[in-house]
Amino acid sequence: MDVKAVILIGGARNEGTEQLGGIPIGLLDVLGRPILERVLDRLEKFGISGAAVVTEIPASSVPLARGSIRPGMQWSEAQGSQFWRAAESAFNDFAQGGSELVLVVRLGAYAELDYEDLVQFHLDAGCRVTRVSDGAGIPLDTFVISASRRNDAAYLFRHELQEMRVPCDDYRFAGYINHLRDPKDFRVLALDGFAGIANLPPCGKQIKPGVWLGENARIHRNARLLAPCFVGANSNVRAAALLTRGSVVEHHTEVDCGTVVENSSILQTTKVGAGLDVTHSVVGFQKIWNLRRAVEVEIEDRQLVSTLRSAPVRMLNNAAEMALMFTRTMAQTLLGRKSARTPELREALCQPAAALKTSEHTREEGLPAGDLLSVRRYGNE
Amino acid sequence: MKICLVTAFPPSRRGLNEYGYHIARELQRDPLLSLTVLADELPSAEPELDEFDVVRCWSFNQLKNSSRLLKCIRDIRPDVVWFNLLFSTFGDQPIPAFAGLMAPVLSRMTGHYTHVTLHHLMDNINLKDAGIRFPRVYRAAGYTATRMLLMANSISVLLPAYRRTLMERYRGENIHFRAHGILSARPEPPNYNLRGVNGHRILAFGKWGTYKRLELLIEAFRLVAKKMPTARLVIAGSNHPMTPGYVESVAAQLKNCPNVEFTGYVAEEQIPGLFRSASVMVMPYSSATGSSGVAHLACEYGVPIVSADIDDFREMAEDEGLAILFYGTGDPQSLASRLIDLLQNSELQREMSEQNFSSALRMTMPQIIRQYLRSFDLHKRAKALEPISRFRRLPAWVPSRSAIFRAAAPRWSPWM
Repeated sequence: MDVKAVILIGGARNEGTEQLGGIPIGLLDVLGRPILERVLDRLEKFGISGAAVVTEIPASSVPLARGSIRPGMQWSEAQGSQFWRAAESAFNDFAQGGSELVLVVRLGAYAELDYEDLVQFHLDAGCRVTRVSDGAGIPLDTFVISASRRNDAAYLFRHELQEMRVPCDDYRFAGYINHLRDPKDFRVLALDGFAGIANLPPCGKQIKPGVWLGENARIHRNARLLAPCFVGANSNVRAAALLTRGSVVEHHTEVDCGTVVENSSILQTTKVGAGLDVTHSVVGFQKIWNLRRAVEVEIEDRQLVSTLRSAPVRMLNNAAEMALMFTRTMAQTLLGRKSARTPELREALCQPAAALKTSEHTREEGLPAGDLLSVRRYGNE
Repeated sequence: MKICLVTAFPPSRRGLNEYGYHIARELQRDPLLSLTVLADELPSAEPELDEFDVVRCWSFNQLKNSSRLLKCIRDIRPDVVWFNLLFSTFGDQPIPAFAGLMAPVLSRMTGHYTHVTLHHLMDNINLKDAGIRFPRVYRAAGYTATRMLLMANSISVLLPAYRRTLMERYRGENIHFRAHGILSARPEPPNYNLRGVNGHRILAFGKWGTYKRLELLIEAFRLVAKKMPTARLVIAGSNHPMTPGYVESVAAQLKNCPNVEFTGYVAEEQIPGLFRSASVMVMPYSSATGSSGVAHLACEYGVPIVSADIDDFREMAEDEGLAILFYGTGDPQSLASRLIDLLQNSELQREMSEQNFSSALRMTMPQIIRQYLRSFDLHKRAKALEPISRFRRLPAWVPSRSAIFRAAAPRWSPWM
């Protein structure tokens, strides 16, 4: 039987959900591989090899899901209302191509479905469309549509997968599901991968029980990795850094000296500055999502969190920076001018906060706002 | 956190010994703190108070106080050195007093975080009232001493006006305003049944002789006694160190006056009884030398206050929400009329009492000390973060970041 899949990345019901820093969670890496790639692998495992991916994000973000694109795969981008039209069009292409059934999967939720069983259920029920829902009856935005039922498919896409033309039986799935609505779900998915609850094995070599390293990952000999943890390909963990309690450092990431990463995920191409304590958070795209406080903080200071560019760009940038510094120093020496001094920590604390427009030091008491400054529990204490 | 508190400390009776004691008592309650009191030497050997680690390492009017203090501080190696100071803490002679005031800056220079709680400013003291013969010389020395004190890491003053003066006139930094506090952790509500029994008791409390004089009060009390014959005046406290024999001379003049009682020095344990039975507390001062500890004691026991109309006291009342009736400074008629108005109006007494007591509840000693500790803790954290903050500024192209980090901050990572 010719079964194809249309994978939709986008079309979230609520604004701001199912994405981190504007990137759909489905395109982000979890334990070394994008969720999209893992879904495609699962489909392939059940013999569903042809897939079309429709995304709502610009083409520049696509390389995030590197490795997901494979031969014979259609990839299209469409924003706003065109997104659902593009999905419908992908369905029609498969129908015209002779497919008998088309699976529509919106990421959305990550579910470890038994696609064989799902297809069999659809055929047994004789429905035009079969919807998948979880044990509690909540729809998972996964459907099996008979390819000949174009009108039903069109109706479904035009109602953004929320209404069906003809009522049908739900396929109740009781296996592993993660709705991936927010950073917390994303983090839980990584932990479930470590624990083996989800079938998401870390992509790397297990150097000791519970510690995985991706290709070309560099770990300084004075860094500590406590199981379970994962360091993705081409990442760099510098001296005195500590990764612990299920921390995940994705590919092309740098954890600078003395930084502690505890129960956190560092997204791909992120640099985490020196001497920080990153706990119970997801970090990336110059943002920190703290899971305990349920807050998202944008970090402007690139010394703390920044996004790494590709190696050649970085090299050029460093060379330019070095040349500029030498030129500036020479000029200052010749002209006898002093360079603008970066404020010390305590001075910086007294300066007005950009967001709050007020100083950390209250005018009357001269005390800083309670918890904004904290020192790690590790180190010399 | 290890703290060295430099203060006059009981059983010494020097200025600020009571305040120093209450600071120490609060600090001692915190199990995470280690406190050493660097106190003044006693004229004769007396047993130290239980539970306190007291090192008596400086003397009143000694020139070597700074170096002796520094030696002690070096031995103890505290995280914070906290000075509880008046300008006359180290001596009433100008040179020893000035030499002693160098201790905070020297302490900072030796690398210790130094905090000064300054109870008054020379700029706000009426030197004439204080009996100073060469006010200009004292002003110049006071200016220099203030500048030296400002070289400490941080300073706390007890009136907002002092903070303004230090910031505007001296261009000082890290100056905090902190309320004086009421010297108690849990003040007891006033018992109104104890007041006005066999006549109202008018209480005056302090160290008498300089800017705290009794003549005006006694004159005003005579006027009060004419209208309220059962009223009693209780004059508590001893002589100011600069005016020995003053209280005794006044007492001798009034020995035939049964309505006036002199208690002399009041020990800590006798203070509650004294204040609980008082209907009103009078502050008959000619000028002020800072936030009034006596006013805060009155608040602690919910006693209404009548005070001379002095700017510092007005500001203190406004900032801390104290109920104070002000009379014209130096005017006995005004003081007497204020006292009579208050003593004849039980509702007003109760209202003022409750307001003062509620103010007291907002500034208990634990709350005040917590503010200090919070700022010390902030400093400690900022200090711990500073090396790493500098390290982060290294440009990305600098090679061997790991090696530099290890060399620069080995203490950061004990697992290395």
